[in-house]
Amino acid sequence: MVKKVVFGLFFLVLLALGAILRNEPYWLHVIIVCIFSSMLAMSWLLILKIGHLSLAHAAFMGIGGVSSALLVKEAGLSFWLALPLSGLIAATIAVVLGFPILRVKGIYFLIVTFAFNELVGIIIRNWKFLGGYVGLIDVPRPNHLGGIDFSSKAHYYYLILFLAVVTVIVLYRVYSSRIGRIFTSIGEDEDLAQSVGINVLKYKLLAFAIGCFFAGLTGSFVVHYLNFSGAEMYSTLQSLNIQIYAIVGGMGFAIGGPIVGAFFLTLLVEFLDIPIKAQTLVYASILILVIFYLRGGLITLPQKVLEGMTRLSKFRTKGTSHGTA
Amino acid sequence: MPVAQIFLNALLLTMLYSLVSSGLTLVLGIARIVNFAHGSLYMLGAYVTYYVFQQVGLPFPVALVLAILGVGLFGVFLNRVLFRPLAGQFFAAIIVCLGLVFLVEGGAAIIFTEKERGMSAFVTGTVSIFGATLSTERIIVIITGALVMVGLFYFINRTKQGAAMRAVAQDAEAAALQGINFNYTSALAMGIGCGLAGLAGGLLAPVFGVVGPYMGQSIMFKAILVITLGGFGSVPGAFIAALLIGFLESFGFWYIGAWVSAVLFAIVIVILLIRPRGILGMEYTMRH
Amino acid sequence: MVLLETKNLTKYFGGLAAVNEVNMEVNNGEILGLVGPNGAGKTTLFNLITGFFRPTRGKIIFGGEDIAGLKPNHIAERGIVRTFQASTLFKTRTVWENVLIGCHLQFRSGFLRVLVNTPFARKEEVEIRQKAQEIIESMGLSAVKNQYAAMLPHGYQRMLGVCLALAANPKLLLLDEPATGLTPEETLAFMVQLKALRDKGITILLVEHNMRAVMGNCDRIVVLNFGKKIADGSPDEIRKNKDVIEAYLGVEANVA
Repeated sequence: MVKKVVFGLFFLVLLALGAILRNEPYWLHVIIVCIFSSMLAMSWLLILKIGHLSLAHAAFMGIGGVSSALLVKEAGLSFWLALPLSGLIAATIAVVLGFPILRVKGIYFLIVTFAFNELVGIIIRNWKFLGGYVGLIDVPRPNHLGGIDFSSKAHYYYLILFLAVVTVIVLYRVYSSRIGRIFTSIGEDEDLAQSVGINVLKYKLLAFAIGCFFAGLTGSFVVHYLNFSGAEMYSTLQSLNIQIYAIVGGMGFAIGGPIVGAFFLTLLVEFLDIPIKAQTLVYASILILVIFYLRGGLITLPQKVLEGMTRLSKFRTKGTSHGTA
Repeated sequence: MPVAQIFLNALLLTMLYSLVSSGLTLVLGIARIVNFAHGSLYMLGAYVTYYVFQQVGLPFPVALVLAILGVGLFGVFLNRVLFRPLAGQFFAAIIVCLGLVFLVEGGAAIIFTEKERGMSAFVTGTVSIFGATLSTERIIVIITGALVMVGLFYFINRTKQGAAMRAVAQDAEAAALQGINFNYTSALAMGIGCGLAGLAGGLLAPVFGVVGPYMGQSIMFKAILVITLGGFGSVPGAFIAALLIGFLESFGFWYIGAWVSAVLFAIVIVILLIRPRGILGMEYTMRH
Repeated sequence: MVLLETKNLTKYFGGLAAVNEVNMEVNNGEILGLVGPNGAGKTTLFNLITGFFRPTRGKIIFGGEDIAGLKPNHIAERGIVRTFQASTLFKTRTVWENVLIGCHLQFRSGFLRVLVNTPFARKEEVEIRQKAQEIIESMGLSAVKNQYAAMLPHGYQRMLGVCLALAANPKLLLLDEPATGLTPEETLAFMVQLKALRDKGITILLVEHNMRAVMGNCDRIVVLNFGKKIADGSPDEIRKNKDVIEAYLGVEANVA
């Protein structure tokens, strides 16, 4: 119950910010980045829940992005059709790829997804149709929807906010249902799950498909927002970024953690005006610090501080009541 | 088709991949971690060599030695500070390695700037073998690489320290019971493993002619392919796999260009699905 | 009536036969004990029956079909469920959640219906939660329903492991050393529970080192040594069997 209230409030705050900042395209952009980064991190975390560390998430975003750009530019589809289609294309490829690779264990899965991400980059860079080294330019804006013509950042802002809410609702529904129970049981002990009749491969494919669907969906938004699709947007380093958002935010909170991580890191480099070159350095440093000193992620910070303070106060009272030794 | 050139290139790639992957597999055996930042160490080796040879003007071999030592020591430092505390925690260790990539590349981008540096050859001229004109530099690099690999095999299989490393990789506890100093052996293996990456970076920088902070990325991809194909922890396996991939890539590139990477990727998937142990198995064997 | 039968069941690991031409039967409604010295192949046999290993040779007949080589979840669907020696629980989940996960096979609604939360899915969820509650009560774990599995005392953990297996509605329950780490009193209580399950119609195949528990509670015993079956019969017959005594040199004193 508390969670729903918190999310609800957060959504209202973002909604309000959209209105307040409607004439500040720069800050709107920053928050748009925060929001779609959260979506990527959340969908990635779903795949981690079933016990698989995927380094290919940016590639799936790319599959969605390139598909969307081509569907609209070349096939003349409406953006509103291309958007869900891109997600579906990404999900389909995820299932095809996942069928063989979800059978392999941790490190091997990591290597395969790493290789896949690299491969997608190579394919995009070497195939003019998909963008080549230059990328796809003049990717059209989303089509008219009522009075909204996407000529201003604010329109994109509300669109991504809407998409994010959809993502959160779907993920929330998954996690709180029987399906979510199955996912966490697979993530914790595959053999045990099998022994009570759970078809582990089937559910892994499901989780992978859902996660990659949202990656593809986000990719579609991004290319129509930036009016551009380029291989560097889908690199392995971008996959790493996504992981960092989720981990720094807190992996224990499937939806809140990624949001905290994405917003914190993105806003941090903005407010401190850290140049792009140093951003990766900052992200990596924070990541390593979190791994060593705050494994649960930033979202556990309030709790840890509270615990620390209670311990401190207990220590003090102990001292006064016992007096001198 | 200039067969001789392609063949030479294949040998060159074989040496490059052997050196880098042997190092990676050594680190894997000792720290039980696939160090994704290994490619960044290669990059550091290249930069050290660039500065010492090109900017300061010291002889090339000196630059190489400094690259090996510098990167090797850096590896020992990383092991002590990052890998050892996380022993046994697969997930955390992997994440840290991935983060390290950012750290090292980001640091390099800041210190050295992102601008790519041109590196001149350490020896010019060509040699005529069987009517084909081949670059002297490349031949020297290939021979040097081969000598290093031979030395590595010898060290691992015939010396006491090498035996100690093999023992620790196989079973750290049992090795400790036999009186092997884990810390020392661990540091040595890390130093050699990372030093190999630094050496590769230094050797290949003048050949490829360019040094930049992100040059380690494509190497990392290939190195991972190689150790997967060759088998985790196996240095001979890494060599054989490097040979296969070097030749496949070199000849394949001539026919299908950059798509050769797609083929390599397919190979990796197939290997992982039918024989994840790779060619020479997953036990940390350095015997044939 | 024979519920499960293995014919020439064999499993090689490299050159070594962990299970070697084992022919055995499990009768409906009995508690069958599977014993043998360490390394005799008991756990391998379990793994073969429950689909975690593929046999090199041989058949496993259950319900009229050869289930050898099927995947574990398909075997569970057919009614054979097992526990594991070590991790037999979802340690980061509560007792309640563990049993609920175990009820997986009882659900009929598919992914889409669950996601959209159709009335059917909701009704099912309520019904099966009821069943899970019943299982927990029947095994005496109501008091700790909301505790994390990892926090339970050892005896309760073992109980929960069986609960988890029960939730999957087995016809044949395979228990892999369930009494390990239990005190004699706990073991006694546990065996009483097993008998109660048998009386409800669940056949039980039990691997156990505790010879006293086995002798006193099993209807029949099969003895393995070096992967081969060396004896098969009632506890009395086994007690007197020369081959068994030889294999277990020194255990005779405990058995008496």
